[in-house]
Amino acid sequence: MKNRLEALRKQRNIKQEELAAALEVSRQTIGSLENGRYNPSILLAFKIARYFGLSIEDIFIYEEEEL
Amino acid sequence: MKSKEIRLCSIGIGLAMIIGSIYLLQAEKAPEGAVRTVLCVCIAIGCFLSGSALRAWLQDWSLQNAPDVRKEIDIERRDERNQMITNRAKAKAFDLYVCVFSVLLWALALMKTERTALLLLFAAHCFVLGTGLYDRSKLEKEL
Repeated sequence: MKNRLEALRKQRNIKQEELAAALEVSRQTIGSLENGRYNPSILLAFKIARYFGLSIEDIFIYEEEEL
Repeated sequence: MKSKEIRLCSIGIGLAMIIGSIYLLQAEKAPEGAVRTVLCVCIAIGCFLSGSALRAWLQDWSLQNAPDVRKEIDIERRDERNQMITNRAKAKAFDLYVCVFSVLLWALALMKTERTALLLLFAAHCFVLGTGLYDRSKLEKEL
């Protein structure tokens, strides 16, 4: 699953640490999310979407895995 | 019951188990056989109970005047990625434990190790596996 987290964060001049503090997660989690190494739980996805004032689909792009 | 009270209870029960068991083991008519084994197990359980409660209490005490550090530790502990990593590592370690312990039990049995020690290890192994099965069935019903 891809996401626009890094782009959105940079667009709003927010540091990873600040975003992590606002979402009550570790900075490493934000880094992993931005790199696409980690997919968030639905709760964290909602938190992120609410933080940016967008919908989940605006931030996270679902891609079907090829069989 | 609050966590502070639970900790105090754990420390109290743990110390009582240690002191009581040592007293009985040191008595003039020292118990033999199964009773002695039970008392030794009680000492070990007591050490674990009081030790883990003391560790938690010391951690709380040391962070009393550092709310920032406490919050940071709390966030790190509750962080879902950290929890996932911990759980995956634990799951892998558990799978490995089952293999290693089974092999070890067979090896000890073939080495004709003392029966009491062997039975204790076997009971502990069964207890851990049983807890795993119980939790699994509980989660199957809940989720």
